[in-house]
Amino acid sequence: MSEEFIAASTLAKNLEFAKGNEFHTILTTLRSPVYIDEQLLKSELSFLVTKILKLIRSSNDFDLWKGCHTSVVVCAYNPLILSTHGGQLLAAIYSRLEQKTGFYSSVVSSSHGKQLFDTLVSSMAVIIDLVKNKPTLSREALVPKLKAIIPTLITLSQYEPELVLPVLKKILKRNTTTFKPFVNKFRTVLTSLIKSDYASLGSKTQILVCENFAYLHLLKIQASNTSDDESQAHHKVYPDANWRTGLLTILSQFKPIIQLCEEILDFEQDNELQKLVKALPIDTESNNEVEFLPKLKLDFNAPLTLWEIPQRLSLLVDMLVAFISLPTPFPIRVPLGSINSVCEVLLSVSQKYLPLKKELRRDNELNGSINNILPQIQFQGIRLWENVVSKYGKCGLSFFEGILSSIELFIPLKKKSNNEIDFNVVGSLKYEFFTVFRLVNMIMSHLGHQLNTVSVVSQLIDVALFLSRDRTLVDSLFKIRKGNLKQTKTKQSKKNKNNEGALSDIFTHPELFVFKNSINWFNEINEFFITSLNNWILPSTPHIQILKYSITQSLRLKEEFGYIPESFVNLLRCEVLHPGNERVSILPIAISLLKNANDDMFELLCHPKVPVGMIYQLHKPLDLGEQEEEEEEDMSERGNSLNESYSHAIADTKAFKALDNLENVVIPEPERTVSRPVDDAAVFKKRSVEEVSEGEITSMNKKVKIVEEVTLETSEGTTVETIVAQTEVEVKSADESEGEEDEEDEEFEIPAIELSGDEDEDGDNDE
Amino acid sequence: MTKSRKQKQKKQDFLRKKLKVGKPKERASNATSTAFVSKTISIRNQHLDQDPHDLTKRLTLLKHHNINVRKETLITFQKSIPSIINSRLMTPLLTQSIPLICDDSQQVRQGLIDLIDEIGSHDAEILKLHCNIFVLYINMAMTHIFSQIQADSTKFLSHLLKYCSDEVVRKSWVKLLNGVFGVLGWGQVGKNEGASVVQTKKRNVKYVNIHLNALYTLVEYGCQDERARGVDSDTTVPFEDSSDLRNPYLIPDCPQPFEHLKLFTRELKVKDPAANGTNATLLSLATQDIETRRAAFSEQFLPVVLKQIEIIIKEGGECGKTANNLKKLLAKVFD
Repeated sequence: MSEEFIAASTLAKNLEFAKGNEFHTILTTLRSPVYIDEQLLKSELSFLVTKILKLIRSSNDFDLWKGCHTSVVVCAYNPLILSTHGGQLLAAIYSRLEQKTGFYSSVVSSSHGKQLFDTLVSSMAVIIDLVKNKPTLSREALVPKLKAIIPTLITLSQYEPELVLPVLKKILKRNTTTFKPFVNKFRTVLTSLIKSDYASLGSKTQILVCENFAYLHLLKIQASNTSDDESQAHHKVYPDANWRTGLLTILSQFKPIIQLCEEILDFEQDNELQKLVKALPIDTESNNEVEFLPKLKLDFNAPLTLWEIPQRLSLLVDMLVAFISLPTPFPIRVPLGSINSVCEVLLSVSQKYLPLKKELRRDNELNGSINNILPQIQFQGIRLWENVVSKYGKCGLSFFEGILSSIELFIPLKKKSNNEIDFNVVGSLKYEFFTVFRLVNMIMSHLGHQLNTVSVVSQLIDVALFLSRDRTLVDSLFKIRKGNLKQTKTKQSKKNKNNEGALSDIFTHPELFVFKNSINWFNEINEFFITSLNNWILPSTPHIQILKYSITQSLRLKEEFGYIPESFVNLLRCEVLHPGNERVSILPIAISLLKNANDDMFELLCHPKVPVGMIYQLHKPLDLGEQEEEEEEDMSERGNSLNESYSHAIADTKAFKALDNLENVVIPEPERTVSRPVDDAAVFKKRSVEEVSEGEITSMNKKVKIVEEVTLETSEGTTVETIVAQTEVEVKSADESEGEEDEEDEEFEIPAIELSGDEDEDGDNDE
Repeated sequence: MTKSRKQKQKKQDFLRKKLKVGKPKERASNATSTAFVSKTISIRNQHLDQDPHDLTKRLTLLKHHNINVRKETLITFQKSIPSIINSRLMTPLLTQSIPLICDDSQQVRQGLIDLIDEIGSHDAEILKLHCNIFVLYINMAMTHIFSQIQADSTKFLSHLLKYCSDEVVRKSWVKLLNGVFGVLGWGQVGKNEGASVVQTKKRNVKYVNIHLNALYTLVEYGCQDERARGVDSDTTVPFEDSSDLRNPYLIPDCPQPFEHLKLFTRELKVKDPAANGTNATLLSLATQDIETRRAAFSEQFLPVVLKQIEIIIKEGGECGKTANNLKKLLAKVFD
C-alpha cells in the first residue's frame, strides 16, 4: 500500500460528472483500504459522503443510480463510513425508494425504470445486511427506519416480487417483531400473488412466495381463546404453535383435492386406499387462513380444465415444502407420518389398479386428458417425498421401503400386458423420472444392500437405459413413408414434391433431429447404476445392458470432449470391481478407455505391487525371552563397525533359523559385558509375533513388524542405517514370505546402536 | 484392241483363283499368321495330379456334386486331424464343413458327425471358437424343409454339447430350445404347434428318442451348474477351474470374452414389438447366467415339456424311458 493515493475529495469531485469507465475507476479506487483512516474522517470522507447524498437526492435517475452504487461500495469496503454515515445513506436511499414506489407505473414505463428499482432495492438490501449484525449500528440506524421501510417494500412486492421478496424474507426472519404490525398487509399481498399470478411467476419466485408465506407464521400467537383451553391452560404452549397450525392447514387441503380424484377413478375397488384417504388429516378448526385458495372448477366437458388438479396440488406441495424445509429459530414438529400417507395416496392415483369410472370411458379427449394428468398427480407425491427425504434423511427410514414400492406404481405399463413398460409414455415423462431417480438414489444411499424390493429396481434400470438413449423424433415418419409412396403416384405428385422439399432433411439427415441428454442426467443415472451394482448381483440381461451403455457412452463422450466425466469413471470402476455373473470383468476395456487418466484403482489392478512405505510402529516387546536371545546374538557382533545394520539383518536370519526349532531353543543367560544402554534408545525392535507355517514355501513364515523410532537426535549415520536395514529386510522377506501382509507386519527389534559420542543422545530418547 | 499389261494386271486382281482338288485354299497375300506358342496351360476344375498331402486343395471338394466325393473328403480330413489339429487349416475346414449339416445325403452328415467327434476329442477349443456358425447351421437344419435333415439336426446338437456345452448354452439358449421344440412338434413360443414340423404324425420312434436325448442334454447343461451335475470321474475338473472360483481378472480362457456385450454388432430393432411381445423379449434376453436360463425355461418352456412328456411316457418304449429320465431331471432341477 503506497502512501501516494488519490485523495477522496478529488474522487468525490469527479464523481458528479463521471460516466462509464471513469465511474468504474472511481469505484475501484474507493475500495482500497487506504481510505480507512480516522484522520480523513472529518474532512475527506464526510465530503465524499455529502457528495454521495447529493447524488442520491438529485432528480436525475443516472445520478441516483451512481449514488446508490457508490454508497454500497463505500459502506462495504469502508467500515468507518459505514459506522458514521451508514444510517444517513440508508435513509436517503429509502426515501427515494419510497418516492419512486409511489409513482411506480410512471417510473417503470421509462426505459431504465426496472433497472432503477433493481438498484435501489438491492443497494438498500446490501446496506441493511451490513448494518444488521452490529448492535449499536442496527439499533440506531436500522430499527427506526425498518418501520418505514417494510410497508414500502410490501407495496413494491406486489409489482416486483422477484426483487423484493428475498429482502422481505430476510427481514421477516430476523426482525419478526418489527414486522408484526405489517403482517396482515403482507399476507394480503402474498395471497393475492398466490391466487392470481402464481403460474406466471418464475419458479424461483414461486418458491420465494411460498417461503415468505411460511415465514408469516413465525410470529407466536398468544394462548388460543377456545373454551376448551381452560382445562388445558397449564399445558406448555409450544413455540411453533402458529407454524404448526399453518402447516396443518396446508396439509389438510390435500384431502379435498384427492376426493375430487375419486370422481375420475373408481376408488371403491381398493379398500386399503379408501381407508388411507379417510385417514388423511383434515382441518378441524376451519380457520380462514388458507381459504383464500379458490375452489377448483372442473368440467368434464372441457377436459383441459382437469389440469387444474395437478396445478393446485403443485401449489400445495410448494407451500408445504416451504413449511418443512425453512430454518426457524424454534424447533418445529413435523408430521412425517401424515405427509407420508398423503404421498402414498397421491401415488396410488393411477390406472394400474384402479379402473376409470364407467361414465367417463367414452370420450376420447377426456380419456387423453386423464391419461396425462394422472402421472402428474403422482409426480406431486414424488416431489414431496423427494423434499422430505433430502431434508430429513434417516428420520423417515421406516417409510423408505414403502416409497420404493409406491414408485413402482409410477412406472407406466402397457395396457393388457403385465410386465411390459410402455416406453412411449416413459419418454414423455423424462423430467419426472429424473426426480424419481434422484429420490431413489437418496433412499438407496440410506438403505443400501438391506433393500428387499428388487423388482422395482430392475424396472427402473430398463427405464433408465431407455431414457439415456438419444431421443429421435423422426422414427414414426419412416414407418409411414411406405404408405406415402403410393400416394405420390397420383397426378398431384408435383404438388407433393413441392411440399416434401422441406421434408428431405428428415430423411437424409435423421441424426440431426435428435435430443441429446445432459450431463446432469447421466450423473444421476450413473449413480443409480453404481448403487445397484454395488448392492446386488443383477441378472445378466440388465447387467450386460448397463455394461454396454457405460462403455459406449464413455467412448462417445471421450471422443467429444477429450475426457470421460467423473460419474462414468466411477461407473466403470464399479463395474470392474463387481463383475457379477460375468466370466470376465471388463478390466481391459476399462483400462483402454481410461488410458491417460492415472486412475489409482486401475493402476493397482494392473500392476499389483508391494507397497513401498512400511508401517512403523513402536511396541513393547511381548516375549522378553526371545528378545534377549536375539540381543545376545546381536551383542556378539557388536564389535563391528557402522555396518551393524547388515549384521542386524543377518541376525534376523539367525533368529529365524533359531526359532525354527523353537522347542529346542535354550534361552541363555544374557552375559552382558558392555553396558547396555537403556531400552529407550532402542531404535529398532524386533519381535516375532506369530508363526505362520505354510506348506512347502518356507519352514517358517512369520509376521513380523518393523518397528522404528526415528528421533530427531539420531545422527545421519543411524538414519542411513535405518533405511539400509529396511531394504535388507525387504529383500529377505520377499524371498521368504508370500503376501504383502507379511512385510507390513514385520517387526524386528534392533537394540541401541552404539556409536561413539552419540550414546548420550540416544540415551535421551524415549520409547 | 489388245489390253495393255497394266490393264491385264488390274483385271487379274479381280479374277477368282481356281481351287485345286486335294489342295487347301491358297492363303491371301495379306494374311497374318495368328499362331502362338504358350509356355504353360492351366486347366481349372480338374486336379488330376494332386499332392496327396496337400489338404487345402481338398477343401473345395466338400462342395462337390458327388456324394461319395464329399464323404471321402470328410473321411480324409478325419484321418488327418491329429496332424493338422494345430495348423491354420482348421478354421477353413470347419467353416466349410459345417454347412454340410444341411447336406442332402445321410452319409455325408454322418461323416461330419464323426469329424466333429474327432476334432472334439483332440481339441475342444477349436469347436468353441466356431460355436456361432454351428448354432446357425443347426438352427437351419432344425427348420429345414427336408424331414431327414430336420431329424438329424439334434444329433449334431448332442455332439456339440458334448464338447462346448458352456458356450453354446450361454449364447443361444432360447434359440436352441425353440428349435428342439419345433423338431419335436411341440410348437415354439409365440407360434402355433405345427409351425415347423415337416414330418407327419407317424414319427419315427428312434428319432424322437434322439430329440429327447438332445433336450435332456440341453437342460442338463443349461439349468444345472457344475456341482449339481456331478462331474464325471473321467474328466475331473480341478477345483480351481470350476466356475465358482474363476477369477474374472485373469486373462480369459474362453474365446471372444466380450462378444455377449454386442459392442460391435448392430442390433436390429424389433419392428413390431406389439405383435410378439414375449417372443421379442425372450429372444433379446442375455442368457449368460444360470438364473436367467432357468427362469426363462421354467416360465416359457417347462409347462409344455411336462405336458408332452407325459404323453410320451404313456406310449412307452425307448422314448418312454428317455422321457422318464427327462422328467426326473426336471423334477430335480426345478424343485
